[in-house]
Amino acid sequence: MSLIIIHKNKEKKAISPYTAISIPQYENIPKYTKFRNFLENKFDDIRLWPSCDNEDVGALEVEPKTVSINTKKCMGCLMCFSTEKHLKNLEETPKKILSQIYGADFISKINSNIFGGHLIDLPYFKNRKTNSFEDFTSIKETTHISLWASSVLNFLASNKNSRVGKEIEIMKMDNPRDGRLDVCLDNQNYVLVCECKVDLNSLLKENRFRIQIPSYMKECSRFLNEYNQKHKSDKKLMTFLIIGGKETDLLPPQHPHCSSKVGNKAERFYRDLIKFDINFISANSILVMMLYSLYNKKRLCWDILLKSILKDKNFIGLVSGGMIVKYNEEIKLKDIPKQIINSAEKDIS
Amino acid sequence: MSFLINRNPSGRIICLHALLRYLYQRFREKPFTLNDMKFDDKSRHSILQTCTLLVKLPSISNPVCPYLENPLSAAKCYLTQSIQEDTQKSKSVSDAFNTLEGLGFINRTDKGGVITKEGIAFILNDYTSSSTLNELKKGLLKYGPFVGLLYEISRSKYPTTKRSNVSLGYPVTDEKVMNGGQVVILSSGSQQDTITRTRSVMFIWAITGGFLLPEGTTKLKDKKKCHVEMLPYIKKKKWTINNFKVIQNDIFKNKILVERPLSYNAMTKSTKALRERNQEDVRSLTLKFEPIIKNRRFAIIYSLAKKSEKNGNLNYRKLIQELIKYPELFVVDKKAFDKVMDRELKIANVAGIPFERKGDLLIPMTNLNIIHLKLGAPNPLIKTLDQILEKI
Repeated sequence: MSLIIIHKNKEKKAISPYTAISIPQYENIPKYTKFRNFLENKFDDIRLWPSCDNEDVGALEVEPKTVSINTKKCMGCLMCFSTEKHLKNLEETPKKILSQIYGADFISKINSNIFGGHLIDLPYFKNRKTNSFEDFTSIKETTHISLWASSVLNFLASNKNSRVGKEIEIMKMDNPRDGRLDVCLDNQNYVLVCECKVDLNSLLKENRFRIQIPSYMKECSRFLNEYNQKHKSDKKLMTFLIIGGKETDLLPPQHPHCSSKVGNKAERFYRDLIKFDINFISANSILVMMLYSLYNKKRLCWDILLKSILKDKNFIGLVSGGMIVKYNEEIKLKDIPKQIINSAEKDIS
Repeated sequence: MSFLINRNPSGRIICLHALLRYLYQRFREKPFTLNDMKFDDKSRHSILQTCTLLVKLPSISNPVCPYLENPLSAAKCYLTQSIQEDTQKSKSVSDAFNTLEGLGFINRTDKGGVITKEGIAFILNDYTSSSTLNELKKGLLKYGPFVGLLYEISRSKYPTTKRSNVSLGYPVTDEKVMNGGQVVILSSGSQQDTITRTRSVMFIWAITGGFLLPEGTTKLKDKKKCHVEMLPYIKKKKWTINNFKVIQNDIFKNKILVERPLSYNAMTKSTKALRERNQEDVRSLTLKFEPIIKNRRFAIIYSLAKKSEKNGNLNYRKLIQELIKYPELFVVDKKAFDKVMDRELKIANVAGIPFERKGDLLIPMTNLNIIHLKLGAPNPLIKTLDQILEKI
């Protein structure tokens, strides 16, 4: 059966749960203060976005009384689930739904494979508009990877009142045009700011990330320091590149499965990451965290996890197989110990 | 008044038809404002009632506008946006207004617009009717910039044309002024992205109106329904075809009357809107000289139109020699005036009075509605130009 009913809209809400992502629109008055207003939670309005891309996926079928996933169209991005932080009023258990989308075999191995030292091979779904999660993230940055990351990272934030912001304008002193922070999360103790890129090729072609990320960090830190002084708080900033597309492109050049050796792309990528002290997270790793969370009904919190792994000063990036670290001159993929993963879990309630 | 349109939503005539139908339903022949044109979730009337393009998307229970990037957006309509949410800051709805005005379907009033009898004739029948196409064609041939486009296309020796063959925008003159020891180039010309958008819209209108066929379409089954036959292409989110077959090329056999040329206030782009950082000098200087730029462009168009009215031609050299005698009206830099005016000649095409050039003689190819052209023009300017034209 290809249609799984995940929710029944008994309360007859105009917008059923699981069908829309809410993104607050933060004020920009006075000019260039949108990030400050994000920190202060001053927003004008809330904008809704469909939780399933109608043009390129179209797997979420919404009728007045039911919300269903069409497994013949779904490629498992889990964006729909991410809209409900407490997974209320699901008609089936997440585990059961995931098994129908991904196959029981794949799902049952999530616990053992996550961050286990080898990249997790996400499935290829035949005969549909978008055949894989990597295909989905590799196009249309604002409506695919950025929107998806906003919603999923909000779900995976440990604080129940975490807040999200998307495309927040920020002044860039080195450029007459302002920058935009693709994804921002406020998780009480941590503020996460991310720049999203559809894949490694477009990242390197544009080649602005080396300047963008440090410049965003500088501007965001300034606002955060002001905020901390004003409110006598101690929020910390985390800044990451989130990269979609083929995850094997993101492996270090010495890794046997690295698929971006041609043209020295992997080498250039890592050279710049190290030189400019930039960290990255693969979109696949976030998806795998989401899969793990839904399967176990325990939220694998990015803030707790990243806080632990960032203690390792050699950390460069996070992929579905674990951490990319640099020891002496060697850059390699290293697993994340189970106890660190377990310590980052919190009940979804 | 008529302005140069430059936003893609106005390319879909079927959307404009729905908009005008909604406006007529709600206001009849009474005036309406720009805000009235926008969707308002508090009003019982809306464009969604007249729109025939709404689609049911899988993840949304009610039909929505297929062109919004976010179909759940409170903007509701790609053409006009809404009172509740307008990501275009009224630029989209302004452009729709300017389009309807340019086509003669509405007239501008103090605070908004009012539908004309031509507008009523346009919406009398469903979009798919052949009479709708007739009214549309009449409207298109009234609008100066569209006539300019057709003229540029007609100059091609070949039965086909490319989008890149046509450039419709305010002339780039590279005119320099000194400001505190620094050279500043005035920003009086159109940027490439604006030219691309204007051109994109005009080409779609040309397809809708049966003047062009996109590459890949060999012929029309029924010329009287070309606006319907071409709908599958027009309805696409992006118009990517660059090559076209010219199917109607006899517009300039006789002089047509362009009822809605660009008027005086549309002689320049919106200079106030220049807002990039470190562009303050360019903006303030261009604003300072904007009246002169408007006047000299208007001088070219008005002179051509007056000569054309009497079936005459314009001696360009003599015009320049006269205009330079009035530097407060027409001149920024006397030394560069000749070169700058040569570049400014391109405004004639955009305004709707293309010409053929034989040495110093400019032969206008259309007539203009001079009353419409003069709207907003200062009387002293008109008086000066009339005096000049008597001499040359």
